[in-house]
Amino acid sequence: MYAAASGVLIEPLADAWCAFSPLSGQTHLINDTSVAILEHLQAAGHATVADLCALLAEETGQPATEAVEMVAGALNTFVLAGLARCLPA
Amino acid sequence: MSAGRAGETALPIEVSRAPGPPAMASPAPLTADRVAELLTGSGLVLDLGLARVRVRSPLAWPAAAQIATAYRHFGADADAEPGNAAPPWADLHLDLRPGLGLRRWVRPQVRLLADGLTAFEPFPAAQVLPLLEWGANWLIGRRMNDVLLLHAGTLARDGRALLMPALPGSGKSTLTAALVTRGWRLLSDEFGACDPASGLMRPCVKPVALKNASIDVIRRFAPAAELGPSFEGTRKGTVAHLAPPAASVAARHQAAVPALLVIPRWQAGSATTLEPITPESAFTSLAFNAFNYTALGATGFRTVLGLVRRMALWRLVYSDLEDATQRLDALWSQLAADAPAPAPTPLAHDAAVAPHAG
Repeated sequence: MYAAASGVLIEPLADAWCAFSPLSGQTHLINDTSVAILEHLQAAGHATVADLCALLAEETGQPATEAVEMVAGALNTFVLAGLARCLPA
Repeated sequence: MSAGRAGETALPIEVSRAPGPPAMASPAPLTADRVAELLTGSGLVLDLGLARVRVRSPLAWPAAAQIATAYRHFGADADAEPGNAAPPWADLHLDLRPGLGLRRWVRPQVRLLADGLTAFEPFPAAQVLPLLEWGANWLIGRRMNDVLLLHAGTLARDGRALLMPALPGSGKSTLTAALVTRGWRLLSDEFGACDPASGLMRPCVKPVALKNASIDVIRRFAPAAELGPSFEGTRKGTVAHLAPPAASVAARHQAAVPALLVIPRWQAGSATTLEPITPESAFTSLAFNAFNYTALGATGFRTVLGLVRRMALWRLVYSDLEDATQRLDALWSQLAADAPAPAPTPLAHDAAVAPHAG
């Protein structure tokens, strides 16, 4: 289960997005898929890898099972960057 | 700034200074004798625009002559005049002291105390000005967290700012000095100070520090440039200081609208290339070249984003200074033709001073 870190700012910048984490003080350039995941976490409060895969499958038309590895990897990166938090099960 | 900003205000910028008199419209010339008198008395208060720095020292000479040369167009603040009981307000405090022990007399040294603390190793006593300049820059970089401080040469024309962020050794100061000698208003050769509330660039007018080969480059480029003496054998080699022009000093409380970002890089033997860059690349450059991006947190993020969104974004590679300045002038003219000049933006406490367009 994952949640967005508090206070994360996401702003469009040309063809990409900038995300700032007050938790880590880091700024990252991220792509549209990353924004979709982070915005869903911010809106829903929390989500599982399966929830996020279902969301992406709905938006892209790709099978949810093909997104598992990518979503799990992205969430790990977000946690390290201070953009998301891993919640206890 | 320790005085603090008055608040998140719209234009014009309001800066509170407590207590602080209005700046003098026509300051008395800063002579070596006057500098010596102030250094050894209540202190010499240098109003740089972004900050006021008080310098004190029992070492009147050679400090006075060196400071008077580099800051020739600055006036000593009115509140430092004899007979004025109010102590001069200053944001930052520097003390130049003689070396300790034998180094007071044998190969004499000078020490710098920044806000009462020793921040640097002593310098030879004859190198007072380089020590003072580095110390002041160090202190500004650490303390002025009410603005986003970029490591950048910053100039202005017609109220609009040209911002040149770069790493040391990129030719930033040389290019800044060259443009100043061609009539651009100097905001700073070291600090691009962006006010987060207004998004405007604030001047921090100090002498332009030129190093090594750059000194002769500028002497050839502009023989009439007001360059002070060369200090040889400093920790950064030979250093000389270009005095800020009187017009830049007079406009040191005049903010400018950020208009053009140019990331400069001097490369021996290269042809001049001036090309647009992506917003992502510009964002990375600005954030990387900011002294206090991390310290400002979300404010730093929003301020950098605002700069990237409102400026034209370019990269310059050059070796020929004449060609580079001409190309920048041409680009500037092209951009200016597309946008009307903004209204002057004096700081509120300087409202009594006649506005001076950059």
